[in-house]
Amino acid sequence: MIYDNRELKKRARQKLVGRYGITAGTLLLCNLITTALFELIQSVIPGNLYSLSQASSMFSIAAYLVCSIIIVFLGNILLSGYRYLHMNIARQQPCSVSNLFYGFNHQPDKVILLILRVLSINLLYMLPCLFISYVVGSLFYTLLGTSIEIFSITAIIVAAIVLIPVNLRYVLIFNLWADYPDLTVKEMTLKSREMMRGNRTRYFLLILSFIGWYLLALLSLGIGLIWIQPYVMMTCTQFYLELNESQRDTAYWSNERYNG
Amino acid sequence: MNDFYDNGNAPEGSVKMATAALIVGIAAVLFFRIFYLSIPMAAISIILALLSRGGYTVSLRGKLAIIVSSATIIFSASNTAYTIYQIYHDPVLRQQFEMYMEYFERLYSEDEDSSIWELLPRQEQDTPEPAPSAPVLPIEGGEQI
Repeated sequence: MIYDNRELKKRARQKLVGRYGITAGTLLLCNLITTALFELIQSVIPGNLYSLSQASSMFSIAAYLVCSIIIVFLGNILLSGYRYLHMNIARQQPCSVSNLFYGFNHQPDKVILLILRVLSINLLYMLPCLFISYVVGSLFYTLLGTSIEIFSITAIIVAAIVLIPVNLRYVLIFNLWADYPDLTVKEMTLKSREMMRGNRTRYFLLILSFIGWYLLALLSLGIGLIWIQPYVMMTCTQFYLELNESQRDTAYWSNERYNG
Repeated sequence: MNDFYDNGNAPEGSVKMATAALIVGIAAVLFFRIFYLSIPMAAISIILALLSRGGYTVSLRGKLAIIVSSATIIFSASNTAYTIYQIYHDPVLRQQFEMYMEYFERLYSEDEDSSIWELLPRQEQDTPEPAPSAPVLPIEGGEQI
């Protein structure tokens, strides 16, 4: 059964009533861990990207970059655990703060490979985007005499136009990772693409419908995100569960490997 | 309209959230003169009240919280805007405001010469100490060497 966005949000709110303590607490813990790690490397490594002029050596910058990338991956593994927590809440299964660390015990390599795969796809689309924005920026610069900053503006616009639809294909990969641990990374990305076919606009509109909530979060100086983020995440989970249910009978899903 | 709350069957979490929303909303009213406290608090109150409904309509407490918080945001923003208007149009207030601004600029200035500390009396260690002189010895006749 296909629900409209309003129904999905309603179901998400229903599921979350009485569970905001655990979702908000887990989100805070996740942010606390990643922030603490970033602060730690900033204090340990003397030269970092924020103080390039004071950097003692190129080695320290490289070390900082490597550490940052590792923390980004760790953060994403934590986030996949956070998504798993929402899946448990949505299915009314037992859940706890320890779900946050689910990714570390269950194929963390797949999470990293999924991130790398999506990143490489993004990069693949980014390079022509950068080239186009460079050409457009140069044209504006030579013909109209505008500042060279137009290059960055066009780069952002072109990247948004191209990368948003591309990334919308892969929004379900972490839900699939939690639901179908036997699938390979390639199969997860293909499956996500298949599921999102014809549903990307709906998902995009679903995310856009939270603009009002984010404006409220802005007014609350970001504190409101403690409750809004779980709400958004749960709505996305409901979207996945609905798609999963509705597409289960299609030819793609009837494959024994996926259902077995 | 769903009579979910009217039947007294509201989930406990929902009731708690609506109560929290109302309390934060009332606190926002109390701080309405301090816009950087009241507006965020009112926004949090609205968020809590809207989320407390679950899949149903907002409870009475939640509705009260939304009304109180919305009014607080409008009132606090209007009050702040009026204060800014007053400062820019009343010469006495403007002068006071500029004095405050100058004070804070000097207080947080990185330039030591224009720092507020310059206004304070210099410390002993800043002034060069006088060179040690020979001890003064009293001699007969009241004269000194």
